Amino acid sequence: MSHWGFKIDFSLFLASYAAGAGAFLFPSLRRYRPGLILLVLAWMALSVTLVHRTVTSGHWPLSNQYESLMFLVWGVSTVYGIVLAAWFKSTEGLAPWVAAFTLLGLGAASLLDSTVEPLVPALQSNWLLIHVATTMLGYAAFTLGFVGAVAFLVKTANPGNPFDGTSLDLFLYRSGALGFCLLTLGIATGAVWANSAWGSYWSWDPKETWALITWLTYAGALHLRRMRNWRGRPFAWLMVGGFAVVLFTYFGVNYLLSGLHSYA
Amino acid sequence: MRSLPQGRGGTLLTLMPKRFLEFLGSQKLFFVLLSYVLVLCVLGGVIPQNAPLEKYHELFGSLFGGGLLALRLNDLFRSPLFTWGLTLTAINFTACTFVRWEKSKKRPAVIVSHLAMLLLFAGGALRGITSQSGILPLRIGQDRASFDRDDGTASPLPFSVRLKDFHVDYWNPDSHLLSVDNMAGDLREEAAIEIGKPISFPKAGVTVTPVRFYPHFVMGENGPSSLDDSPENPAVELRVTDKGKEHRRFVFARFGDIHADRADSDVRFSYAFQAGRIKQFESLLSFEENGREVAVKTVRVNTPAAWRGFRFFQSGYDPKDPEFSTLQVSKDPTVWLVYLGFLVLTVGVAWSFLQRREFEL
Repeated sequence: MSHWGFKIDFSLFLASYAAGAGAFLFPSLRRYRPGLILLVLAWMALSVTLVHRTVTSGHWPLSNQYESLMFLVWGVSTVYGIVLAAWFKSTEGLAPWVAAFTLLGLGAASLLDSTVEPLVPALQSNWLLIHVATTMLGYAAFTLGFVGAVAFLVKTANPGNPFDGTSLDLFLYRSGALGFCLLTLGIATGAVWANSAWGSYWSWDPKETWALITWLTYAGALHLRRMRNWRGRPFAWLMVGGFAVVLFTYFGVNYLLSGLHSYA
Repeated sequence: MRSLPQGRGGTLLTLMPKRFLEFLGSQKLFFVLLSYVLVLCVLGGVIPQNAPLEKYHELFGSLFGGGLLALRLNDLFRSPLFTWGLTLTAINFTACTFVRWEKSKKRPAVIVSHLAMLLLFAGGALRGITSQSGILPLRIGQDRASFDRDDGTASPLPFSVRLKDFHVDYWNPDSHLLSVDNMAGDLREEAAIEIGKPISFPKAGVTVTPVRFYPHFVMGENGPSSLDDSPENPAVELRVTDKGKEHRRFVFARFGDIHADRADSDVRFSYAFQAGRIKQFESLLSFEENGREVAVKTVRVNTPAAWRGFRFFQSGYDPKDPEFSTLQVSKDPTVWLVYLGFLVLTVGVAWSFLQRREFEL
């Protein structure tokens, strides 16, 4: 089921991307609705895959890089759906960009070990869901900020282009701010968990340090926007830079630095 | 940056502190300090922390390694470079809130977030002064009334702790699988084996007794041995009875072709090893005061035990010594301040996010 589930998820995200990219590339087709519907279907299929894995493994699908990457892909499409429905209907043109990222994420996940393993003792805690899920949803929001930033930079690359980026600019600001909220919660819950598991809420473990670096980076970006009026392209570049830090915190630390989070 | 309201007849003495206060609470200083702390965090996140000194010379060469140690970048987060950076940032936050009070009053979420940061700074500083931590290695039956601090000194406990029991639970234990087939390739038998228990393979007509397991097989001057308990090169020594004759052979999980077959036998062996997965570590602790047992508590990973303000965490074990357990000991009376800081910070940041005005709409 899991194997087939992955293939179905990938196919639906691919179809969503194709439909969205078609609408993006051919102005006469400028209809993003089919791509969005396919994105919703892909999200539903991925939700089923994750629920199935949860049931078969007996734990939340957040215990290793494969599972957390699948959750990140789910988180990106979930947060995009919520943001789109709640605030920014005008950013439906981002759907193919989001689908492209989810395809990249699923592609990367396919290279990882997907074996269902029982939980190591350190992860046998309810904090696993609270801490990892909030952090990954924060990364998902930062990912959306990055996707929006790239779209913004591409669309405003030519000064002669009459593109009004106000809505997209706000979208990536809100994505960054939402990610900042969730990462704050993720770090706070991680500290509480660390104190109950290791006897210290902060150990300057590489993962903790890089989570703090990510937090400080986005704190700086949000303050620059508010206090120094860094909007538009400068803020988009900040979101791109912030996402590079997110990638290192999420992937780089796992492969290059060892520490208390080495099982992640 | 708005200037502070100045009173009538302000003298140079009263103006200077205001200017100084404005500087301390300025945005420029905030961004400078943020960049400074960020750079130090990146350095501390890349340079291994608190590693043996020779490792720094090995990694960075004698010149850079020496410079790095002189700047205490090997223990960066406890170095004056970092603590002063944090202290100045805390001062900047306080001054900024005060200097920009009129503006901040209209944005309470910002005040709440800044207050939270100050609580976190205070909690961190108090932790350095009031907390105690270290390790308590114990064997079953042993008791101690002190624990070993990180600097190697012993710190007394107001009671003694005895390790009554320790055991490791497994999801599944180590498994050894032995397959036997003949040279013609038309026969194959497979069975799980246990060390010391003979097992017959009737089709192949052989009886096998696994004599010894070598997790990390090496061949030394004194014959075969295991370098350590890590399953780097799993091998099993077999005593094989084949056609009434007995011989010894070794089978290797990672090198299937070595010793798999012999000239005087028409069967070949292949061996697979799967390491057991640990489910949980469990230490049963007895707390004793005045020579009398006053409490018995179980410690597992993620389930510490607390007694008289000290908390005990399952920290380590020795695979070679099943009666040995290591506990982490911690006492942090001001941790509530940090928890409060995190709570207030989460509220402040979420409040900022949810306020429409804060989001320029």
